[in-house]
Amino acid sequence: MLRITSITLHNFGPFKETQSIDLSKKDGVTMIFGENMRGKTTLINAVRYALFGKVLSRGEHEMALHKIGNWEAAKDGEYGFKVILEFEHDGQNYTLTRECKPRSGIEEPKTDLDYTQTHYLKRGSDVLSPADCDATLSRVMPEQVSRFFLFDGELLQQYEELLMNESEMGQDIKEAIERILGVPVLTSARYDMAELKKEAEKKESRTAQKDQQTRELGTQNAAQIEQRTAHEKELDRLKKELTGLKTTKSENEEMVRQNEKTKALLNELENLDSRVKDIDARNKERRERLASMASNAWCWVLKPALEELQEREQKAMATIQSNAAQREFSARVADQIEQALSTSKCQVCSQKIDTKTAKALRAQMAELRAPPQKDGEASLEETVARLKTLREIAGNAGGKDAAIELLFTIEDAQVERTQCQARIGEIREKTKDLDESKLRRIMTAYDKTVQDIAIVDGGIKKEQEALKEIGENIKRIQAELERIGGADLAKERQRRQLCASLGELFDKGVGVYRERLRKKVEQDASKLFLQLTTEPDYASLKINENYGLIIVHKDGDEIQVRSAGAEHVVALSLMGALQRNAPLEGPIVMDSPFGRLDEGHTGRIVKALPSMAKQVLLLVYESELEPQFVRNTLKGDLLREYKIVRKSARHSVLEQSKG
Amino acid sequence: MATTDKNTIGVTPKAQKILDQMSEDKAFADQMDAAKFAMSIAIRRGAKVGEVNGAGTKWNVGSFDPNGDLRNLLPIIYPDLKTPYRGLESLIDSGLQIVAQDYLKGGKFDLATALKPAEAKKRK
Repeated sequence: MLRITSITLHNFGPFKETQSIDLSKKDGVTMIFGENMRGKTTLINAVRYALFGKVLSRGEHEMALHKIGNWEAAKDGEYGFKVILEFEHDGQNYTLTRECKPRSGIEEPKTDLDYTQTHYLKRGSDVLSPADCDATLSRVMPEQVSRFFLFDGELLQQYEELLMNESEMGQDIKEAIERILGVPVLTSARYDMAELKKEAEKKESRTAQKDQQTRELGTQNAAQIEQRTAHEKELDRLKKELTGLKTTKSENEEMVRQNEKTKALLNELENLDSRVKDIDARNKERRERLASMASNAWCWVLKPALEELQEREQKAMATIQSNAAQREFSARVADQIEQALSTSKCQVCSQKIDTKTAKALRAQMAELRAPPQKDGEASLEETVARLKTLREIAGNAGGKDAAIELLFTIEDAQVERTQCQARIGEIREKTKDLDESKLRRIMTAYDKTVQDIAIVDGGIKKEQEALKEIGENIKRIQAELERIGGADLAKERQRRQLCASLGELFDKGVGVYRERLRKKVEQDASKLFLQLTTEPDYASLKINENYGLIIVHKDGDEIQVRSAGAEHVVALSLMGALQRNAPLEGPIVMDSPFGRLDEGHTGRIVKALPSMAKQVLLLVYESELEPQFVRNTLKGDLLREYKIVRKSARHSVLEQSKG
Repeated sequence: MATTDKNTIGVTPKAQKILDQMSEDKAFADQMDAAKFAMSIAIRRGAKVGEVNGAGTKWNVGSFDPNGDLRNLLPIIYPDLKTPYRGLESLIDSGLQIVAQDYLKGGKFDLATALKPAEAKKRK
């Protein structure tokens, strides 16, 4: 079992100069309290750096080493950093030192290339050779399984991916789980048997080629085996390429995820820009339409006046016509009077007209003959002409409402444009320091990787099909050789068949071992889960093919949707179960695992910590977990307490507060 | 008052500036349409016809009023008007002053309000 006994840091992150944590050799929990930005995650990274030479960001990306050294020390001209990890393993004491310092001749390093790294491992007082050092470290703590020992509570939700069959991250975690559980011991044996079987097949072909009777078949078999080797090589190459591409994809994915918000802003910006262009184009077209309509705008304005004028002119015309009729009637009456006067006799009643009457009639006739012309009265022709003008102009006054509607549409679009422009301004302000082209490059690279993965996947399928066909050919040739071959060939065949049988045995062994492990992990995780959860209606956890765990209700139903808090509890149950079933034992170093949990769950987890691993190092902030609460809960299982104290924004100090 | 009518009409430099602002948003196909619109606004507001001092020679009346509609209309509205194109020139000038005062908001011509003041006001 790996047990860390001390961690010494020199100018690592905020830990300026040399600072140490000594850990008890007893089983139990060590607490390290520190507020945000004091260096809790940095402490996990210090252990990771010592063991693997890597420092990871929260997104699990490797960080530039140039950024790891203490900033205040760098200001004083001291660059680089060092971590010394003392630990016990299988009864031996080890001291691992890893250091990163500027290359000779470089006074002010600017990038990782300006640094050199060294590491060495002492067993007792003996310094191990580089090869022994690396072999020992990979035995003590293989990097591939380190995620189960050094982990960030915030990333526990990753284990939800195990419930998704197609998830790449889920596949990675599944492989790591099988590694920690020791499955590769059997899968490697299965692989070795397959290789031995291939060797036997080659020998069988060579032997067949030596015999006249089987030469032809032997040559055919050798050719098929050669083809198979070539296809296998290509398949391996493609699989490696696929792994590389998937790594690139997940790295890009992480960057894309980190830049998701920015990406959303840039997409919004793009949409807004295109909306503004669209508004401009539409308004341009609308304005042209409006301008062509507006040549009659003066008629629209005058329409009410034109209507009034038309009414006035119509009245005038009626008056003129009425006056003309009156004049005609008067003329006719005057004519009749004139005739009566000329005959001195009335044309209607035949009475004679006396002198007095004749005088009166003459006066009346004169009056009728000369009706007074009214001043300023226009002629009928003039009035008709005016009406015609007015009607013609009024005829052009249509389309006003449509024009106004168009104007309002233009106005609305302008308002929307102004709003778009304001938002564009906001986004530009927010993203002014952003390297937009870099983000676009990431997106393009991500898209290209996805396409490449599809191509390589296709290639893999083709190779697998080719291998299947070749395998069938080989089987057919081998059956023929079995039928006609002699004693020498029978010996080689037996060797091949033995390797094949052993291969099948290991294959079955892998299946059986996996199944047992899954059951065991399921049982232990369930047991731990029931200790950790505060929900009395939950009965157990059910494991799937990928080691994903599903909560089962006491009525037998599977809980399909679970909260982030429940996800945490399930992930911690899995961690505990893996620790119990792994051949490899080590400390659990956990960073802020309680952020999403309520007091009830937190208490139960703290209580369960000593049963999860023999050595637990817990890094928390005080509002996440009250020191007194931990003391009361853990009692004798709490071995030591440390506190990370702020000296300045770039300088933290480790202080032992208890133990 | 002059007894002969004009063959060319124009606007004063001050009125030309207003005309330019009216044309900025391209609400009208050309300044001739904008000037006719200004004239109609002046009529709607009951402007009197008169003489304009300093108006240039911007448009030929044959182009401005190809069918003679305005020449015929203005004496109907203003019965005492003997020289319709002089009257037209003065109405354009008055109309542009009204536009400047009421329909140029922040230097931008508000055609909607000029066309339908009540509706435009309600909308805003």
